Formats: sequence, C-alpha cells, structure tokens
Amino acid sequence: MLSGSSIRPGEARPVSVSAMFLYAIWITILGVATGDPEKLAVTTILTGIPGLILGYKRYGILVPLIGLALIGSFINMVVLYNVGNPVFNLGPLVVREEAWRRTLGLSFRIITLAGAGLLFASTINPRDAVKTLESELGMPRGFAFALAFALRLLPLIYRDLLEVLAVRRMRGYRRVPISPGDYKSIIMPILSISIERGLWVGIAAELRGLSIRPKRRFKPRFKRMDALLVVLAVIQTLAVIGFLGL
Amino acid sequence: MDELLKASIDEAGYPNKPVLSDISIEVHNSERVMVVGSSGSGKTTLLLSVTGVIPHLLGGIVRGYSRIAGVNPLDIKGFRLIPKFTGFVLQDPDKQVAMPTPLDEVAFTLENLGWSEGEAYKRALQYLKRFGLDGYELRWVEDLSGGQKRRLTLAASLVHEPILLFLDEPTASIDPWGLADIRNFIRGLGEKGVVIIEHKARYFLDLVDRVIALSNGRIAGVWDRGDIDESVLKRVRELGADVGEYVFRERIRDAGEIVLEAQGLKVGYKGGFALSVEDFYVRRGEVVALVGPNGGGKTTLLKTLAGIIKPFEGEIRTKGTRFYMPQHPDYMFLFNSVGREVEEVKKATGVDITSLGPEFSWVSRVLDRSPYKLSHGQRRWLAFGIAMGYNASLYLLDEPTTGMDVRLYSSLGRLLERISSRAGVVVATHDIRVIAEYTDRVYMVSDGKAWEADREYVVRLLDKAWRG
Repeated sequence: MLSGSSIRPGEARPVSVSAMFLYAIWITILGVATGDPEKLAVTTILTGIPGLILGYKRYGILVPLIGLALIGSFINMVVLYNVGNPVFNLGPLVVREEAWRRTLGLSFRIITLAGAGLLFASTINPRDAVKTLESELGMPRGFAFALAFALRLLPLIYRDLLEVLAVRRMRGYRRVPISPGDYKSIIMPILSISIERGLWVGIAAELRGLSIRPKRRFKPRFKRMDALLVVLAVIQTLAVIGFLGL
Repeated sequence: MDELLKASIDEAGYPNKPVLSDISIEVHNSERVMVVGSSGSGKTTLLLSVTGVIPHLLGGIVRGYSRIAGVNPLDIKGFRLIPKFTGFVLQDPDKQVAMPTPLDEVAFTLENLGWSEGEAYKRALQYLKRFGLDGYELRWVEDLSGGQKRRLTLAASLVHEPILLFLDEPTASIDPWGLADIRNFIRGLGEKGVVIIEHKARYFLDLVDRVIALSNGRIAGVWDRGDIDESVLKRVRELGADVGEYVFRERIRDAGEIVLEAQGLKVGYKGGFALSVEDFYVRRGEVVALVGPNGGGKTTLLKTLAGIIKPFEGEIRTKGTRFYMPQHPDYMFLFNSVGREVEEVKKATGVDITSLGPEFSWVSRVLDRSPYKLSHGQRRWLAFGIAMGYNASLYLLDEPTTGMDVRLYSSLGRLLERISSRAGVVVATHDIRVIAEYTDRVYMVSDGKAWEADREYVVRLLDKAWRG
C-alpha cells in the first residue's frame, strides 16, 4: 500500500512545493489554534478529508490508525465529560452534549492535522522537498534534509510495522491494538529501529557532503494552481477567526 | 605510492567508554586493506574515528592523528572536506539510502559537492547504467531488491570518483551472486585505495594486500598478503573472523512426523510477483533451507508458511504451532526491559528463558536493561530465547546469521541442533556454512518457483557463485 505514489518523481506537479508546504503548516497552526468543532468543521472538510483520501493511496496504514484515535477520543470524552443535554443513545449509553461537542472538536482537529500532513507527504517527493525548502524558503539544510528523510522513512516504518504485527501474532497478542500497552509495544521497536536508521542515514549524508552542499537561493516559483491553495487557506482562516459567523 | 590514509589513534570512543587504543593504519593508492575482528572488536569504531565521525557527529573523543589525502578529518574544516575524495558504503543500504529514487540518490552526492543539477543527473545516469540499474532510475527505492540497493549504494559512493573507498561489511544480507558483483567491483577499482571492514574475511582474502586484525579495540596483528599462511589464518579465526571454508556435513537424522505440508501453492503480493511451489514439507527434527537470490521471494514464502500471508492458491496443512522469527531481532521485543520480556514469555508459555541453557545464562544479569540497548549478539540471542520459549512445532527463521561473527555462528549452530531436536525448522538463508553444516534439505527459490534441490549441489553452486 506504500509502494506507489500519487505523483511519480519527475512528473509535473499542479502546485509548487513551497506553496504546499506553507499551506500545510498554516492549516496545522489553525488546527492547533482552536478546538471549536464548528470552526474546525471547515478545515476538516477542505483540508482534512482530502488529505486523508490522497494519503490513503500512499500511506494507507495511517488512516486506520487515525480511525482508532477517533474511537479513543470518543471513549475518553464520554468517560470524562458526559454532562449536559442528551444528544443520542448508543445502546444503553446516553451520550450528552459536552462529551459529544468535545469529541467532535478533538476529532476534527486530529483529521485536520493528519490531513494537512498527508496532503504534503503524498504530493511531494523527498528530493523536491530538500531542494525547494532549502533553496526557496531558506530553511537550514539539516532541517530540510531531516524533513525529506522523514518522507522516505514512512514506507520503511510501514514495513517495520508489518514485522512487529507478525511477531505479536506469533506471541499470541492482539493483532488490533486497543490498550495503551498494545500501542507502546508496537511503537517501541519501530521507534528503536527508526532512530538507529535515522542516525546512520544522517552519518552517511554527512559523509557524502551534506554540510558542504552549496546554498542555492531561488525566488519561490509559484504555479497557477497555488492560487487555489491561497483561496482555501483564506476561507479556513476566516472560518477559524470567526468571520464566517460559524 | 601516494599515501591516501594515515592514522595513528592513541584512544577513541565515548566519554567513560574508550573503544580503541593504540591503532595505526596506512593505505596507499591501489592498496586494498581489510580490517577483521569479532563483533565488538572496534572495526566500525575505527572507520568512524579515522574519518572524524566520532568527534564531530557522535559526541565521542578521538585522541591521535589522522590524515586522509593530507586533510585532517579530526578538525571540523577537514571533516567537511573529506566527502570530496572519499566514498562510503555502510552495512545496511536502508541505513544509507536517503532519497526516493536511484537517480536522486546518486545525484544527491554530486549536488552536495557543488555539481549543477543537469550535470549531476547526466553523470548519475551513467553510473546507474554502470552498476546495472538502467531502467530503474525512477523506480522507488523500496521496489528494489536487496542486491540492487547494495549496487545503488556503491554507485552513489563512487559517482564523484573518490580516491579512497570505505566498505563496512559489504557482504551483510547479500546473496552469493551479489557478493561476486562486489568482488568484481573491488577488482576493478584500479588506483583507488580501499578499506574493507568485514568479519567474513574469507570472501576477500584473495583480493586484499593487507589484513589488520582487531581484538578488544587494539591491533592484534597485521599481515601482508604474502605473509598469510595457515598459522595466520588460524590466528585470525581465533580472533573471531571467519576465514575458513565451509565443511559439508552429511546429515543422517531420524526425522519424525510431518509438521507442515503444502501443495500447489502460489504466494506473493497482489499486483506484485508470484511464486509457485508444487510441493513442500517439513518433518519434526529436520532443518530445511530456502535458498535463492535476493528478491526471489524467500521471505514471502517463509511468511506464507508461517500463516502471516495468505497464499493466492493452494493448501497448507500444519501439525502444532508455528513461530516466525524476523531477520531483525528488535522486531521480537514487545517490552522495554529484558525482565519484562522474560516474565511475559514465562506467563504465556511457562518457560523461563534464563534456564534454557548456558547460552542464556547472561540474561539474568541484564533483566533491568532495555532489550534495545543490548549488543547485536545479545539481542539476537534474546530473540532466540523468546522464540524457543514458545515451544513451537515449526520454527521459520529469516536470515538468522546476519551480522554474526564466527563465535556467535558456532553457538547458533548448537542452538539450531537443539531446536531441531524437537521441532521442524525452515531457514531462509544465503549463508553457505549454514546450508552445508546444519541443514538436512534445501529448496531453491528462484525465477518464480521453489523446488527441492540436492543439498550438495546447491552448496557447490553457491560456493561457485560468490567466487565469480
């Protein structure tokens, strides 16, 4: 599920890397800035859901994990904030206003943040990221490289995840993680291997001259379709700061 | 002859943890020098010390002198210059390749060194062709086989025509055909100097001009090619390097009942390759090898036999439980302390890993440590202990000897004998020693098929393949 890409390397992209990066960062800031479900509904619809759909093609495993996070947030909110007028019944459980409102707020925030990240990750390849972020946006080369490598790391993490799940099954543990302990036991080996891998890739890059990579500064080259991102960003910003009366 | 590397390290390592003492190494142009030693003897630390990685990237200390083509890499300005005339190939391509496609990966080196994008891509295309990767320029790196990834790291390390090349365990996880490619590549390096870090010394003994053996962070011996005789090889073997030839052992074992039987199997991934297996079986008490080139489908078949991947077609019948052990031992650990791992295995199976035998006696001394902080050998052993605790009828092991020095390998042999005395074992491996010494039957996995082959024939085939 991670072997393909929505856009192959070298293929012309409808939007520029710089614009997509800035858009993803801005929507992330909006997602963090408010927890209001009405305001976040706009970012969820315009960025979150399209990001998840595009991201599913390349990073399919992340989407079910986001689903699990949403279920987890609902359970937490029902346990901690189930007060106010009844909204609906779930079998014998009466879900009340405060729990439902907080669930929606957190869910929309999760979808917005994940969608913004996946939108960037699934439309940009690491090479373009390292080049553009450094030469157009003036990012330090180490930071741009780390971000680019993170995109390359995702398919490897997916491979690691399959191995860890296989071992869990052999050892008689749940295949679908439910408890925090389950998540920890999956994340620990993946993290350990990824840290080691990242360290060595960093060393290899330094030994191949990353630190003497010449700085090439270009003016950001925006494309026509970038205007669409600007319009979308303005709509979402207005929604979050309340100008749309939501 | 020009001096490409000259280093004299008084001490190197990390705060409160010195690893190397009193090491000298020199490499001139056209020279091939091999550094050998057991796991933990300091081979990789030597490479990281003389190139300045330890002080500049890992927060360690190097006291001494090092010059690469006259530049001092222990000084930060010199360290930044050495990529211009050195190339590095690390153990694991997945810990080296940073870019998404082969073309980007090779061009990355050149762009770092100041080449224009157009020139970098032009040269990168030439090198990809030279290393047999034409047609793969824009494929995703993840779609390449292990051997192709290794060739990619070689291309990316040589594309700027360095005068000195460092190869850190280039044979790790490589099939005998890939190994022959690496040997041919070393033969064709002309005037370049080469430093090979390797514990499987036998693969390069005929190609190198000098062998340096390390033991406990010190030089235990230096021999020129002309001085290497039986007594030297014996000494090098005692120091943990593998210099011997395989010993073909006739196996007459009393195999028991069939624990896995498969017929008419077709395995693979949707949209990917498919592998057909007419007939496959494993008996309790025997060790069966899956052998074939990188990317041929050994791991996929192993996982299908383990029940992790569903076959497209065919039937698998088993008797008792199966246990799959991945190549990387870290995948086996589910808890962040060795004690918790031991406890959980005991809870699930009733077996105490610490009492499994003398190979596991050290486990009780590290119960409070994280399994991820253990040495590679200890992690491998703990993973075996966990697997053995589950007392399965069939064990499926993926490349269990990767990264093992000769001592660990000998212990593994004894362990395989123990496991197979009460269970069936399937091993996916490239290791000729394992096939010759510890297996009973062999299945070849190649060209979309897997079939049972004569073990002696396969051993000879593989031995001939790596020699090129």
